[in-house]
This record gives sequence, C-alpha cells and structure tokens, in this order.
Amino acid sequence: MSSQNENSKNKTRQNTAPDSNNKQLVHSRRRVLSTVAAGVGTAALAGCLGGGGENGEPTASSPLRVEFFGGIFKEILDEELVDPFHEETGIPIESEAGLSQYELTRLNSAVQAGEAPVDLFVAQPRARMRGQDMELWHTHDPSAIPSYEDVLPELRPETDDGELIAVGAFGVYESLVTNLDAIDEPLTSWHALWDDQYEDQLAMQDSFDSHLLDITAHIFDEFDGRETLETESGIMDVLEKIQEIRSQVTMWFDAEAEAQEGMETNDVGGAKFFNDVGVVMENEDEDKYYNAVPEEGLVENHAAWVIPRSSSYTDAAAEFIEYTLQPDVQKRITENLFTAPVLQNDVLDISDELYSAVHGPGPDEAIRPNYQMYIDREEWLDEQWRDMILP
Amino acid sequence: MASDDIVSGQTRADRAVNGLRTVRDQLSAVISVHGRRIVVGYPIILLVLFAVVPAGIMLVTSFYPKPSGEYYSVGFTLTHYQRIFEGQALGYISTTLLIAAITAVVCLLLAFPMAYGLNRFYSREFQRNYLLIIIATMWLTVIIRTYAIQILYSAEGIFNRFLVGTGVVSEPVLGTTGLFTVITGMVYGFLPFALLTIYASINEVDSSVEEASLNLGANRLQTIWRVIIPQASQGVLLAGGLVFILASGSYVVPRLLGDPDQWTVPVLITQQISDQLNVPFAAALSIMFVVIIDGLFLAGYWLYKRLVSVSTTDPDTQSTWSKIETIGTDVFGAVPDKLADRLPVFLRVYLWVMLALFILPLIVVISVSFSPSSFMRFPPSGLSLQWYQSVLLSPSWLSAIGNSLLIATFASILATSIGASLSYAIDRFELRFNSQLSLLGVLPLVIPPVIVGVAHMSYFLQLGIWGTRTGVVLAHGVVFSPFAFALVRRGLLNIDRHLEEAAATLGANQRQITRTITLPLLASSLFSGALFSFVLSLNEYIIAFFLTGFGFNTVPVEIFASLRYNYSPDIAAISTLYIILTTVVVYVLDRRFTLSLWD
Repeated sequence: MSSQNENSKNKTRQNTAPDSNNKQLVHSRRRVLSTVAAGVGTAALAGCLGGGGENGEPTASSPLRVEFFGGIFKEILDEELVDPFHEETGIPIESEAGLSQYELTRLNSAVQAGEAPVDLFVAQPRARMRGQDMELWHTHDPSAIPSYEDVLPELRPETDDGELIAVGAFGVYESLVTNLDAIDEPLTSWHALWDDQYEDQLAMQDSFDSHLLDITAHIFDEFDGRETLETESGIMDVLEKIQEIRSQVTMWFDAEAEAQEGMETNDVGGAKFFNDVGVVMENEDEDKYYNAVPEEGLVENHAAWVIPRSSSYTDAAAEFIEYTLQPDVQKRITENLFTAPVLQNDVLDISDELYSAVHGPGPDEAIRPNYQMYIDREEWLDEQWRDMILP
Repeated sequence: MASDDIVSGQTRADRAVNGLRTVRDQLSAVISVHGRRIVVGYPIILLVLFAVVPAGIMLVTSFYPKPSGEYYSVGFTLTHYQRIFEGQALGYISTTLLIAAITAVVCLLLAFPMAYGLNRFYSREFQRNYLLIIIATMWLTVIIRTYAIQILYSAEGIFNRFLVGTGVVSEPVLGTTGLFTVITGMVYGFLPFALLTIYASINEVDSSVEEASLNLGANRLQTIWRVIIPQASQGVLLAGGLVFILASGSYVVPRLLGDPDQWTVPVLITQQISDQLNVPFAAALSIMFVVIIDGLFLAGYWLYKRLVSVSTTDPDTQSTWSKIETIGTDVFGAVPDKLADRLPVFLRVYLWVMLALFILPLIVVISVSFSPSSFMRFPPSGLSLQWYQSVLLSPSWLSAIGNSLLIATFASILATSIGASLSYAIDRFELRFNSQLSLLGVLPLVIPPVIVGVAHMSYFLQLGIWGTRTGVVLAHGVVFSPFAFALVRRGLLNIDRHLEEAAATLGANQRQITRTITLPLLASSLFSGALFSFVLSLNEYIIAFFLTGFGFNTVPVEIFASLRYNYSPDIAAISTLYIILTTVVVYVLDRRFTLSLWD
C-alpha cells in the first residue's frame, strides 16, 4: 500500500496544473485517492496481538504470559506461584484470567497467524487432546523439565518420540455441593441424583462431556464402567439411565458460575462442582453449603500446562512448568486452592487431612472419565444427548 | 525551519490549511463527475466484500468434511446437511421461528399504544425525554440485561416475593430460565426498536385527519382502527420485521435465560463451533437458516403485495377487507363512550407503567453496583463504592470501554454511510437492478451474527486484519447497515419531492438540493440509523468474540468472560458507567440537533 501511495505521489508531483480535460481529471483522481488513502492509513484502527519477542527471552515490556482460570483461582496463583517464580528466577511474567482451552477455534486462527495469545495455559484433557490433533502445542524435550518424572504418569502425555506434550498443573476432582437453604437432606452420593426427593432442585452441566456418562456407567451394577462406554449400544443404555434424572434438573448450565449464582438465590438446591470450588463455598458459608465426597468416589479431572507452538518463550515456559512441579510449590497450591497435586505421593509432603480433603478416597478410587470416547464419538454423542437428555 | 517559512511566505499551518483545501476541492471535483458511481459503487463494493464473500466462504465451508474428533479440512460432503434433516436441528429452527414470532407480536402489541399515547398526549419535550430514557435502557448491554432479569425473576426476587407474599401464589412461579423468561428478555431488548419505528410512523400521520374522524362521531378506538393503523401500517410491519430478525439472530438471551428447549439456532451454531469445533456443520445450519428466513420474508412480502393489490382490484377481497374493517369499527364502537373517552388516561398510565418496567432492570443494575457483598444481590444489603474503584483501577475494563465506544462510533458511521448511500441510489437513480440491490441491502441482517463472526474470522485472517479493531468495525458496519438502509429508505419515500423540484426550479443544483433540502429532511432517519447501529455495535457480543482475537476485548466480551467465574458486582459497576457515558453522548447529540431530530 505505502509503495503504491509513493508511486502515485511521485506521478502527481510531475503534473500539478489543474485544467478541465480527462487526463487532468485522471491525475486528480489518483492524487485524491492517494491522499485519502494516506489519511485513512494514518487513521487506521489497527490493533495488534501480543507476539513473541525477537530473542526468545521474556522482557519487562514483553513478559512471559501465563493464563489460568480467573476469580479466586487467579488471585491465589498470583500470590503462591507467579510472584514467587518471578522473585526466584527474575523472569518477567504476567498472568491473565482466561479460557483459551474453550476457544480452540480462535486459538487455531491465532496460531495460524503466528501469534500466541498467551505463552502457556491450563487445558483439561479433552481440550488438550483436541489441541494435540490440531497440532497446536509445542512439545518439549523432557530434559527441559527434569521434574516431569515426579508427575503422575497419566498427567504427562508424550509423543511417540518421547517429547512432552503437556504436563499436569493441578487436579480438579468433581464432587457434590448441596445448598442447605433449599434442600434438607444433603447429596452424599452420585446415586442421589436419581432420587426424586430432589425433583426440580438440581443443576447439571448441559454438555454431553459433563462426565455424567462416566459416573452412571461406574456406579450402577448393570454397567461395566469404561467398558460399557466403548460401544454405541452401551452408551445408549447408559443414556437411557441418565434420562431418569431429568425430572430432578431445574437448571442446565454451561459455566459453573451460573449454577453458583442459582445456589446463592436458592433457585438451585444441589449440583456437581469442581471439588476445590465446593470446598471454598463450604468454608465461606458452612451453614448454607455442604460439599460432599460422594460415596462412590470423586470424578477425576485435571488441568495440564500446554504451550501454543507459536509462542516465542518456550524455554521460559518450560522453566515455569519446572518451577510448578517443586514439591513445596505443589503443597502451597494445594493448601490454598484445594486442588489435587499432580506429583506422586512419595515426593509430596502434605498432611493426611489435606490429602483427604482434595483427593477424597484417593486417585485409585476415583471415577476416571473416558476422554477418548468423548472425542471419537463427539458428533453422535452430541445428537443423542440433545435428543435423549436435554429437554 | 523558520528560515524556510520566511522564504516561502507561508507557515506550516498555512500549508496544512491549503493542503486540506486542495483535498476538498479535488474531492469535490471527483464527486461532481463521478458522484453517482461513488454513491452506487461504495455500498455495493463494501457489501459484496464483507457480506457476500464471507457468506460464500461459509457456503463452501458447509461442504467440508469433519471427521469426529478431528478438525475440518477441505473437501466435499453432504453429511452436514443430512444431519440437519435427520438430527435435532429442525427442532431448533422451529423453536427459533416461534420465539421470534412471539417476540415480534408482543413487541408490536406493547409498542403501538406506547407510540400512539406518547405522540398524541404529551409535549415534544416529554416525548424526547421519555424516548431518551427508553434508549438509555438500550445501552445496558444485553448480557447484563439478562442477568438483571434473572435477579428479578429468581426465587427470592421481588416479583416472586410479591406474588407469594400477597397470597396470589403459594410458591415462586417465575424462574430464572424458561419460555416466559426468554420472551421477557427478548421483548425488553427489542421493544425499543419497535417503539422508535412505530413512533416515527405515527409521527407522520396527519393529526388533522384524526381530528376529523373524531369530529365526525368516531370514538378514539375506532379512529385508531380506521385512521391511524392503516396509515402507520408500513411502520408497524417494518417494526415487526425488524424485531423478528433481531430476535431470530439473538444468542445471549436464549442461551442465558432459556432452558435447552428454548435454545435457538444461534445457540446451537455457537455450541457447535466452540464445543465441537464443527465449523462446517455450523455453516450448513446457518445456510439452511438463512434460506428459511429469506423464504419466509419473501413469502410474506409476496403475500403483502398480493393482498394490497387484490384488495384494491378484486371486489370480493375489497368486500372482505371492508367487512374486517367494519367488524373492527363495530366492536370498538360498542365500547361505551365514557370508557373510550378515557383512552388518553389509560394510555398515560400505561406509558408510566411501561417506563417503570423499563427502568426496573436499570435500577437493579445500578443498585447492585453499590453492593458491599461479592454477589449480585437486589436489593443490596448496604452501600459500597468498592466495585467502581475496582473497575476504574482496572486497565482491562477501561480498555474494553474505550474499545467498545471507538468501534461503535466508527461502525455506526460506516453502517449509516453504506445504508444511506444504497437506499439513496435505489430511490433516485432508477437503476436496473433495484430489487436485487434492495436484497443486498438487507442481506447482512438475515445472516446469524455467530456465523458472521466465524465467516469473517477466517476471511480476515487471510486479509491480515483478524484481531484488529478495524476488522470489528468493518464487520459491525456491514452487519448493521440494513438498519440505516431501511430507515433512510422510508425517510426518502416520505420526502415531498415537490420541495426538491421547487428548489431546482429556483436554480439550485443537485448538490445544493441534497445539502439544503434532502439531507435536513433525512436527518432523523440518518440519526436513527446511526443510533441503532451504535447501540447494536456497543452491545454486540458474538461477532466481537470471534473477531477481537486475544489482543483486546470489548465490554460485552469482557463481561461474558468474567461471568464464567462469578457474578461479581463489578459488572454492574461497569454497566452503570457505560449507561451514564452513552446517555450523556446521546443527550448532547440530541440537544445539538434540537427538536428537529425527533421530528
């Protein structure tokens, strides 16, 4: 554009005497267009995405950008993770609240454009796996993160070449929270979701990947857990069982905050939440909220650190991940956020009480969702879920 | 350098002014020769580039395969269209049309008496202030409006407490989700559009004809039936069509206030893109939905034209219309005179009740913004400025406000320029393809905003303007141009051409006529079109979500993102600041243009 403007200007500099013939009008038009274009260009409303620095090292003006869940999560992680990391390493770092894991379409566009909205963020398994398929993540040589061996094996997926795709950030089990102002008898088991005493009282996630399939397949004797969910006929049987809880549901929500607000206003009596959220709610108002580790076990979930492959600060990001895997850091995060640590037990130093609060009976007793099923059959599941479960 | 200035005899300022004059003179020269081409070409080029081309991209994308668990790729398949007919999508389409139709009908029924009562029984000053308050409610971004409604309709909200407390019901009947709640949210959001459109129509009805009807013995209801409604019918139909289109394309209201059986096509499309990454299926849904909406509008337009034509030529149809009119006249005539004469009183009360209902969510939001607790409670348990402090010290919120205002300003200018120039070209230039151009003018309106967002996302990525404010301005400017197009079109049709002819006779050239006659008469239409576009851009979420990328946010995007974590009162604080800021802008503009604007 600018070279065209320059050429136009050069041409018009050669002929500036106005007259009425067409040649003059053509020149006039070009000059007008070039002048206007220059003006528009000057006034252009271009914004730009943050991108990587030129030398791969974060700077004060272009720090390492890390994203995680917002609200209280970010407050605590800023205090217990981000600020100490900066103090200890001197690496400029900035945290943001965001949900890039739910915005893979936009993230894909950003990565294609060579931009990195953030340098690393947390992604739950399904988002991490899909990003993998879309080749969105930077993979690390394991030597960049020596402490990865202390991470629970299922939380450090690798490529066929042995490169790390993602590394566990924290575990986020799912539990049951009861609003004691709306319900007398608190929910203490997954089976309770089928109890018609809770008619029109419960809030459920509206998406098929809410793990209700896994819970149902796990807790009822007529099913064989993950095996049942390997076939469409098995999944259909489980969906028919889930249909029985529909009359208990008064709210189908997307974001947890909707259900939380519903509990605050007493429109909702109970819901499945992330255990850390439930613990915080109970701690803040134990007269109103009761957070239960269901008798059949918590639902295992976790978030892992992923780095968009368009990031320019992959080394610094790896250093940050390495820092988060230090046992004392994991302990601090667990104590304050009530998320489950991602390290193996033998390197951890947390009390039995804290362990119980965040793990419940422990990872071996947890219900493990079949994430691959959700990805392999997503279109079919989406149709069946809308047809059979959603009103 | 000073010595250079002395030598040339000109200061820098002089050179700048001369430069601007040169640009102006050259622009005038170009316009005088090529004005017609510019007026026609400008909107067509922009609409083709930023409405037709992205629609084409979406059409092509709708045939791309997307294996389960993978991202889509270039190819050809009909499975997405097959899925529309074999799956749940048809149900969503019918739900969307039903909710949009109910919303349109309710808006018309509520807006007409408001517009009539306001126009006939109150001073111009009152009318202006009333409409400004109504418009102020439009500044409340749709996301925060829906949450205000949820607060009001919650189990412990004021409506349920009133109903239970007075013994009307034994337990709460209003819910934070459901069909009634969705319709409330839709009507609250779109009633102002219907009101302003119908108001402008009634404003043009000659009041002396109405007086004559009353003097000849008809009561007010009969006069409204036989005189006002027929003359304002085009405005009423336009209002109904506008509301229907806006409601059918709405995402936030059905998503947040609806149960899954009130989710509409835009909700399904967004879920397919965000949750399933199934862009081709979303594209196929959009294409199908646009075809259906277009089909309905074409069918409705044909039916309207047929009815008008037949009713003026076919004796049987004339007879039927006449019978309908007579029945209505008789029904309204049967209303006792004392009651009919009290219509002005009823309408005044009705106007105040509607105003109170419109203001109530504003009051809720403003009150909640002063809440000392960290949840949105109404009424608040105390007073605190902590949320204002939080917002005013937050770079992200301030940046979002600045971005929204900047984008809305430029988008409204762009939308008005596109819509106004296209409607002027169609009205004045007797072009061969007027019908097609009219369709082009309204095309952006019938494409669901979510698919506009996705289509523009990949398109702008290729152009290198994805994630820029320019991209959002372009998208908003094109998408909202149909409002200016429709309003200016109506304005042009209502201009007395004799005035322009008289000016020509007295020696004025076309530019002088346009500047001194046409534009002043079009001022209110232009202002309305710009205002609609401004408000819509300010409140628009889904297109901005897809086009802002990760580099910056607008207020609706920022609010929606923060609401995933908690319902914090800082959202109410930002909304209150938003309302104050934009109301001041409109008030100043209104004063600047004086009374002629509402006229």
